[in-house]
Amino acid sequence: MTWPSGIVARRLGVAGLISLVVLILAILPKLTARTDILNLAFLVCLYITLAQSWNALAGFTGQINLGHAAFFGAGAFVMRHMWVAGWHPLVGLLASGVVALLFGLVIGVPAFRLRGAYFAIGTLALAEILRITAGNAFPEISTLPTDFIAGYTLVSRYYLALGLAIVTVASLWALGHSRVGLGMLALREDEDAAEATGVNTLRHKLLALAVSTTLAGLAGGVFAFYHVSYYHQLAFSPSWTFDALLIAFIGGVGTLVGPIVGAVFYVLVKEVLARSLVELHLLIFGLLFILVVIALPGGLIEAAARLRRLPAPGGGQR
Amino acid sequence: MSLPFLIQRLIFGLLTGALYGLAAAGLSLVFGVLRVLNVAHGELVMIGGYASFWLFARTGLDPFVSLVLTMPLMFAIGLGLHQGLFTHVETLDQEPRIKNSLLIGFGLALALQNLAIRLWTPDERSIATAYSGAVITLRGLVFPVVRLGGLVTAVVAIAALHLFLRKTYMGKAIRGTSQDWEAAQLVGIDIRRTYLVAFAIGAALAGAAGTLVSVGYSINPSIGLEWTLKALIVVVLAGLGSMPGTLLGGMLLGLAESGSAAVIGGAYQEVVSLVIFLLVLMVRPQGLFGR
Amino acid sequence: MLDVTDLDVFYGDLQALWQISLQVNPREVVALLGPNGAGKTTLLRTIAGLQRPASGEVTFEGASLHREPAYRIVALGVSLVPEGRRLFSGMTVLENLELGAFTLDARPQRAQTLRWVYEMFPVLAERRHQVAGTMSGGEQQMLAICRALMARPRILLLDEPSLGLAPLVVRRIFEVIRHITVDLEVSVLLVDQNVKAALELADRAYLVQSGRIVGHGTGRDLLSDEQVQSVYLGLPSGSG
Repeated sequence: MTWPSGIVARRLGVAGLISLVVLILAILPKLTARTDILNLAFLVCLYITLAQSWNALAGFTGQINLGHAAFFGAGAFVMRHMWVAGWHPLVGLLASGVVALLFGLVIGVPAFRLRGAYFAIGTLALAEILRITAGNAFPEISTLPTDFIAGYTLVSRYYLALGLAIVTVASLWALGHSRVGLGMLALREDEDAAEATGVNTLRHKLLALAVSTTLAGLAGGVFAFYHVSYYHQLAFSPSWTFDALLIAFIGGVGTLVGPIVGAVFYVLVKEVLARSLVELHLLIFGLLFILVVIALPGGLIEAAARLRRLPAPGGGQR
Repeated sequence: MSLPFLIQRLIFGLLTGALYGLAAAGLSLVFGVLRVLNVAHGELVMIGGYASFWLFARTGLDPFVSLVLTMPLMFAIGLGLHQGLFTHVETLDQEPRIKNSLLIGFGLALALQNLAIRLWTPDERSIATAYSGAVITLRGLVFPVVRLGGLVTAVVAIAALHLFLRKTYMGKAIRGTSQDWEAAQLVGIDIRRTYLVAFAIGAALAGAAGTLVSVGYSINPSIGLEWTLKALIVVVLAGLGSMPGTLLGGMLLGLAESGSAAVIGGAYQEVVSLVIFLLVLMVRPQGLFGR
Repeated sequence: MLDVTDLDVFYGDLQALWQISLQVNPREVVALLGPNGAGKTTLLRTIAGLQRPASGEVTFEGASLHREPAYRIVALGVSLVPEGRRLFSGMTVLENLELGAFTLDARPQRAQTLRWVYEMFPVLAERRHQVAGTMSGGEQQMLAICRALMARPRILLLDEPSLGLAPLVVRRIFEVIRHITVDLEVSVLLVDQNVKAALELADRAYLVQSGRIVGHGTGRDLLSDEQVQSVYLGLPSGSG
């Protein structure tokens, strides 16, 4: 089978671009020693993972999970405690993912009895229960022991976040190109129709949720590995959910590139605005989010595509 | 724990619960009529609270009197929010309408909350009137005057809404639209106008609740989520369609919270109400439409 | 009085009505007959403003309706009694009737119309405080017709008024329709599966098939038409 040379060239181009970006990111710590840049790069990677993990459920099945912070928080909690207790960080991280996975499966069965907006507010309530409980049960600040702080390097955190972001994007790509992924997309379009054509909607939703919560738990683990001190409640804050939503929607929910673009955009704007005023970025992102929901369901990705299509009206494309 | 102590707790719960009912009435009306799930409802409560707070701080206007100004103000804000934002979901089918309205509400909540931080700082505020500390004591039981005022206000507001919905043409049109929007058009009701008015009334009620929060309790820019959740819990408990029922649902939630706080401690009273919420959702997974 | 001209209506990409034209004259009863899915309901909904035509015109007493929103069309004198009645089923009989007189023109005449309705249907007077959804099917259909009449329309669009009702009740409904046209001077555009009764009642009728008008005549002529007899009335046709 022969492909038109244009498609081959485009595919090679995309592959080349991806390799280049990954290469640059991989050698970034060699290129610069500036901690502010590394910090930003770390945050971009963390937010890519966070937003993609949310996107795994919303993008593939259309379910709006407003309790995503619960899984991020659970991952962070497990990682922090195992790590401080002497386990190797990678073991702790793995445990974060496993716990978030199991947690997701346990709450998934009852939660998916709820559909649409009810699933959203149900998960929101669940995460709030966890946040309040975490704040009550562990009110004290979690600070690393001094010997841990002595061995702290930002570069290792950066590589961990980068590795996780790559794994996350690759998993979602693989999911998108699998049979199961197609079943999920079918139920996103029309749940009843998908069920009628033999898609086991509950199993597909559970699988998407499992992928989503596992990745969220891992992201939480990286967060717990990164911060020197924080309140346990912080990792359960609804803002993790909200950030994931903002990034995924503004970038383009249901796409692979959208949340990546969204994460870069989010971290950069937040950084720029943080110098002027603390929470202003959330005001802007809140408004941008509304704009996307009302006028631009495809997010930035769709906007870019539209702009590209503009110069050639009547070019036959859609 | 002594019995009088428990009764005192339950009285506080009832007084707080009336406020939950008032906060929920607006959300219930908007959801019932427009099928719009405005998760920024709590932010409207917050803004209503600030309106009364600043009126009191700048002009010394009594918070209960300020309702005459804050409710129309919130009504106007409601008109603007509906025309600017929520009108865009009107043409959608029920399920995507609820979902998209939830998303719009989510963005709006973030924007309003951070706008409030920007304008008014994250500080906790409360209206301290001359009678703020005053209590009425009856057989050893304490009734704070401002919270009693809150209860009366909530009851009056909900009674007024109930009569409006039962007795006036506009009120009946709102109820008719909530039952069958197509049939409503067929008798000559301009449902877009009905939606607009219902949303604005919902905002005005949220504002009234906010005033009562700022005088009986305290406000800050981040209270929105909590109040949205409270209102949602009440709506799930009480169902849609009956405003007195919503008030009762609010009082029930207040009682449940204060009762559980007395038994297992105040730190978990929020958890108790959220668990109740999840349980009711589980029993009625078809959602809030179970009448 | 009601003029429909060259109406095309689509559901998405699917064309439901093709070049429909028809007229209803003052105090006339006109029936629309045809198999399920022929587009009769779509036509009534389009006239009532619930559906937008892609092209064509609907005018009523000289005013064009096809760009007006549904609630304005009611005020202009056209009321639809939709298929399935669509009552405000959680509200009382009286509230349903009151909402029927929602338009500004109808409100002043509310008491008068209500008196007429109660005289005509004593059962509605007796049950005025009953919740509409708890009444029998026949009573609900009467209420649906009366709710539409409360707006003081000059033409009534009736979509399947006899659907799912017992034969005796159906007969009563058709009597009522006849009575309305005489008593209130209201024209009627009627869609009903009950072809024989509809043709007996109607002054004229249009035959609709696959979104097109395929025949037209007086009720009497169509009743004795062989093709109509075979297709719509289930009688053996002369040629078969």
